[in-house]
Amino acid sequence: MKFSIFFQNDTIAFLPELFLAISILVVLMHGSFLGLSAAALYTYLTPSMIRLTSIILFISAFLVVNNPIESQTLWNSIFITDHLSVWLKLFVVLGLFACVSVSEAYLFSVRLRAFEFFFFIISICLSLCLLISSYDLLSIYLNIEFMSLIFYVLATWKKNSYFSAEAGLKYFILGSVASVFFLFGASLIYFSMGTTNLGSLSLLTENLAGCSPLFYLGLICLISALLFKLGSAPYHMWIADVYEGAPTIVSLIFASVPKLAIFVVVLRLVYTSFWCLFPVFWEDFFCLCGLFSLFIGCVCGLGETKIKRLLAFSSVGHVGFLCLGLASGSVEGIQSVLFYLLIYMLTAIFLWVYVLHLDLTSDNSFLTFSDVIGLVRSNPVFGLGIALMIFSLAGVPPLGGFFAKLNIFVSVVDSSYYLVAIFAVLTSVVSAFYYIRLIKIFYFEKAEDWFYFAPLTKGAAFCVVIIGWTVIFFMLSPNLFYLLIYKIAIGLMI
Amino acid sequence: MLLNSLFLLLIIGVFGLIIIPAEHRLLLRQFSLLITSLVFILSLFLWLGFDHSTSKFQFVVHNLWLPLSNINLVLGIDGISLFFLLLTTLIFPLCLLASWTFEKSNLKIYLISFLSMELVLLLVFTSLDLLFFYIFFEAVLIPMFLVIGIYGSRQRKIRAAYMFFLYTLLGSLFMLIGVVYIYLSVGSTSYEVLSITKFSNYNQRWLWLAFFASFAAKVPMLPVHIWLPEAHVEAPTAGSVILAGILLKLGSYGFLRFSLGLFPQACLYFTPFVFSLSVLGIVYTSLTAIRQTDLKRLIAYTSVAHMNLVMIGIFSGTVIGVEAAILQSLSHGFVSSALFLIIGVLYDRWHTRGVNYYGGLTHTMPIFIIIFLFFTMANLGLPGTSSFVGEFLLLVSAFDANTTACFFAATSMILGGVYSLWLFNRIAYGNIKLVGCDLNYREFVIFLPLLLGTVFMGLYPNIFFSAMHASVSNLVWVESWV
Repeated sequence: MKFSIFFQNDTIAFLPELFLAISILVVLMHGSFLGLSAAALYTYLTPSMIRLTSIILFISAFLVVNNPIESQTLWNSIFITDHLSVWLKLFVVLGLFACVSVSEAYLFSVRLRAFEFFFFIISICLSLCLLISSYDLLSIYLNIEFMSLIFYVLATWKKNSYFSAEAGLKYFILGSVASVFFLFGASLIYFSMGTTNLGSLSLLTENLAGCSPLFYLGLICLISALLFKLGSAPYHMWIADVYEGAPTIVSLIFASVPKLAIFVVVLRLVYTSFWCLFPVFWEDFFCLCGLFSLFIGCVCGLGETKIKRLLAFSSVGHVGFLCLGLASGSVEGIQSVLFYLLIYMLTAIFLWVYVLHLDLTSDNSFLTFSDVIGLVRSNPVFGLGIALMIFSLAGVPPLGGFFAKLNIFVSVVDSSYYLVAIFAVLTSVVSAFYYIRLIKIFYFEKAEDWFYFAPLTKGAAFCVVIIGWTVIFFMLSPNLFYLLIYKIAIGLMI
Repeated sequence: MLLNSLFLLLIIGVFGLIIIPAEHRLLLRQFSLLITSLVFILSLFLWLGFDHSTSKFQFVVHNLWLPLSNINLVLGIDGISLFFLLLTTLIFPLCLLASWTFEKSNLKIYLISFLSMELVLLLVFTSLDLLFFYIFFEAVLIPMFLVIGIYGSRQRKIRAAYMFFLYTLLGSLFMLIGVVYIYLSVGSTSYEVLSITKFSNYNQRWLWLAFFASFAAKVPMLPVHIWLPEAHVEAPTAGSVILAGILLKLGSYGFLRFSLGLFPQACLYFTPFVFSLSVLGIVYTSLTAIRQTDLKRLIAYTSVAHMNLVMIGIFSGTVIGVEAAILQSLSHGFVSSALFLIIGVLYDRWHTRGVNYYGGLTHTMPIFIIIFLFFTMANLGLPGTSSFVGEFLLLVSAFDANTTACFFAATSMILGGVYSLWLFNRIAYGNIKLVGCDLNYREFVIFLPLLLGTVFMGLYPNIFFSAMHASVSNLVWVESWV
């Protein structure tokens, strides 16, 4: 009865997570033994921590991709490894790698005097990797709580800012309520089905004649909790305040990485376990949430003058598009959602790196429109890159964001939701207005007073160039992306 | 291969412009002029090597893009798109010459926007794949938005840039849904496949309306025409020339290639609708043009009137109508561009566009006034200029289709005379109000090709018509095959 005979494949498949867990301890040790004085924290601890964290993330990316185990469930079926989990873990790790590489200058300028920040980043990586592999309602709950607790702490990091405290407290209270709803929904589903394993649930709900109303209530609670974490309407109230109040590097992490993992959970729930409920329940639910999110995203974004809140509301709009893609119920739906998620993550990292750069160069913590005026004079090439990224968010061809929206429209029209498509088009045009208003401010307005000129930091420049080339010149060779996403989507449907 | 070399030249041009540092302003301008002139000369070979006897697509290039979904970048020309292509490659070097004395600091972004606009426009006119047509159709918005917004002359340019962008985006997103529906029902977006597909009458009508939303904003037809006077006025000279000369033709090209080609029964069904909007457009905008006091706004309104007349020709359902529509589009490209360049000459000297500031220019700038007179006469349709050929044949075909519409459209010739002659009168004759230099060598060279082209098209249009016969007959035959 050796452990290695029973759990051999599981251990092999879980190598990245095991590596991350051990490296958390290593980072903690490194930080606490070297960080004995404040001077040490500035001069050599932060750079050394950044390099250490980058190496850890890089190695874990390697481990994730070189996973020899094909699709199977692990650890008594509470975890799974398949194409979806492998590739999305890779994207999560790459996203966090980008976040770490831009953090150096920010941490120096904001005087974030703690090495625990890197400990948290690796823990986020671990929790998201575990979440992406989860295959049981309980393990999903545990990993969501793990991730959320770290985020609650990170949101309040800035000790001298009221906004930060407000952001953290709001996020904590609302997030805990959402997690409780998730648990309640999971318990109702356990009550009606008798199991919490996603695979068993898909077998049990295959030929369902009629469901008890408690089952539907459980599903609604479950999915509402997940949509809350994503920031979709009608659960969008916390996003603007939290994105604005948290320190900018933390908002960068919020905006880019967790959405991938939570969408994986939603995809697994909707397409694997409860797929047969599609015509009854899921289409209406996701169409409604999607349309509502689009509406909120475009209307609230129009009135905003602060950059961080504007990006928060635009992310609400994008989650709306993603919900519409989910509502279609076909392989094109999954493909479009994954594709859009990827392009959205890249664009969000780019834009938040720009906000980080602004934060370094402005004197107060609010970033309004008047702070962005001098962009074209100070950094012309970067300004052009930002303008093209914003056009990509608005969905103008030939940039990457257009293809993402095209795929969503393909999946929506394929399921014959014509009125939904028309509404999505109308909100796209209205939200395009506030995107090009940003471009107008960069390019067309004259700054009244002196503006601060600063070149981009090295880490930021590295990320920005790679992401910029991917999104702007996406059109030249999309074959790779499309084939990869097709492989992932088919793996999910079977 | 020839088509690929055109695009390759332009891509080399854009990269070269990015590499050259921004201080060498003369080198930047010379380089971009060289590239655009080479592109023009290469495109003339397209006309030389064009086979007049077939309606099939020529110089076809297949580039694989996404074989998984059957969407590939297929490029080719036929009789309809050949002349739009030549118009584009001719107008761009003239625009760059016209902006030679550009004082603003961001010359590099200006030139890069223009070259990338030319690249995208050439791709629009040659793409035989519906999705790529849509992509490049929309991609023109980005550089044009930047050109209007950065290089416009006064604060109202921001409003103009917004209106230009949002009107076109709204229409085009409806077209996107149409394109997606076609792709899902047919399985391919290649024009060669779509042209032999029959859509049901009901589907055709909805798809026609989706495509109409997009092309009508570009033509521009009546309710959604407001962006045009704003954008033309606020753009810099070269920007207005590109807008008037080429971007307006995108709408009528789209109607020809896609609405007529793919949805013939729906075109028959909606013909009275299009005729009503066009006739209203012609009469209303011609009357409005008479009242204008801003030079550019006047010519912008006349552009709307001419393009609406082109629409009547397209939907007339006869070979004469469609050929005349293409010729009138070409002619309008020459004449309207020349008129905006003329206004640019005046603006370069005195930095004002108000009509009341100008008077008695004949005495001090005679050569300029000769050219202005010629193009004014061309604008109102004097026989001997290309615009007469176009308008006359359009009225012939409209008479064939719907006599009442023809009657009202013919008032365009009368009203055209009113606004053109009155404008010319106020500027050229009367008391001398402003004194300045006559045309210099560079400006004369700008007008010369346009002048020769207009005369050439007016005196012997058969050279242009003979290239179009095969393709247009094929198009109209499909339509009347109901």
